[in-house]
Amino acid sequence: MTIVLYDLVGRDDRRFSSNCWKTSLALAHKGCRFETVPTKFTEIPSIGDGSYSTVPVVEFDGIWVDDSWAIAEHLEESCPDGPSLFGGAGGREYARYVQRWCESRIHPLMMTLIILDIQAHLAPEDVEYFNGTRPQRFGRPLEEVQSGRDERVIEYRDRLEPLRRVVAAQPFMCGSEPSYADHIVMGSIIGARRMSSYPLFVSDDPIYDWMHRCLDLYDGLGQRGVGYNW
Amino acid sequence: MTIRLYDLVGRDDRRFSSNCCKTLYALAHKGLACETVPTRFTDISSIGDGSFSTIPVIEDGDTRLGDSWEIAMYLEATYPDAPSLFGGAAGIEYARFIARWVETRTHPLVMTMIVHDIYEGLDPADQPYFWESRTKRLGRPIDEVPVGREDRLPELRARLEPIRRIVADQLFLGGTSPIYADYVAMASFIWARKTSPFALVDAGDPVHAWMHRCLDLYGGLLRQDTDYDW
Repeated sequence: MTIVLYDLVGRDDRRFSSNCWKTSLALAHKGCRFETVPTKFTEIPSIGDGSYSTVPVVEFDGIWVDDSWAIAEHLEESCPDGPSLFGGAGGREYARYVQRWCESRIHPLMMTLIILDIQAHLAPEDVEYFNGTRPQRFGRPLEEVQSGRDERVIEYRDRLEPLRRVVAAQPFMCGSEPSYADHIVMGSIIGARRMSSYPLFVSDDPIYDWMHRCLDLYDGLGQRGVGYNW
Repeated sequence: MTIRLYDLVGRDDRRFSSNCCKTLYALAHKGLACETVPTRFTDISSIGDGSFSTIPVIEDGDTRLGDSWEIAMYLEATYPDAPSLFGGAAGIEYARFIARWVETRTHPLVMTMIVHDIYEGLDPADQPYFWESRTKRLGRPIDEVPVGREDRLPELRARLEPIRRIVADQLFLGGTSPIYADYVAMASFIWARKTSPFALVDAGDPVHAWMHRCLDLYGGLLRQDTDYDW
């Protein structure tokens, strides 16, 4: 089967989309070989039949699926032989919770820490689009959004305390093996590492060790390509 | 065989311990008959061989066991034919993550709002112990801790956003039926509702609707006439 992932790209081939990273990790988790098509924000409308407004979009031999959660569920059903992404019904609900937690409490706060860094690493063709949408989304200039990040990163780390306690006691969120719950949180972190030199974690944080365990998975998939190392 | 549960009790038979609630739910989920022994804080040290400092404690035949998490694991292993508390190994991890989230992000914040109300609802024999131990734990006299709690309520409600998003879409954290993750998250609300008139969530909030769905489970097992009505 040919699998093609339309993957958000910035300057210098930086793959920085948190949601695309969830999908990349899920594909690798399932042992699927896949190709990526680097896609700028302004190229998203030209994917497939032109109906998409976000990435990831994945084409599985002519079957098109978008939305990282829908893609994960599709993968779990269509590739039953690969290692399970969720580990059963209870695990799927766990991943759902982690998705809601990350999207509401973790990722948006992280974005305020690095939004100018993202802007600085975009493909030149995307800068106008980004500057035309993001300030409205945050309700203020991006310089103001990122200002004071050294204080806010403390709050970011505090919010991750449940994860910290879990991965201080076991290798991954689901125990000894990675699961889609790990990939959800890591998607956000890998995206940040592509665009920003600002370290979200200090090296004596159990989350830092967990992050590096996750980055080492699948032959180091999460640390391949252009980005920052922290 | 009937399992005996040592259950924390306050004035007017209020069964207000969040950890005992988790065990009551777990026993009911498993369809196990249970008799409770109302136990004040100052009675805990006389349970069994005197080695316990917290409750719940259960007695199941010759087995005597404390700690709500250990009890849940024991029940799942000992009664495998009864409905699963977790929905598989990954569901145990879900409950574990929720436990870490509650203990770090929500329960301590709720404590700052209701600690003095808890004190007011205790059996007089327990009040000196509670005042002294909680004042030490919280670093201030417990009648000062709740001051300004209205101002902290928006932060608590913001922290509940992951749960809100899930139970807006489905009945329980477990999907169409509750699992132990629901009980772990719900226990703080039951604890608060039994001890404090201060409404943590308002009608109209999906979290409020979920709380009442959980309270209705097992014939309204966790409802008492002495509960505050919010």
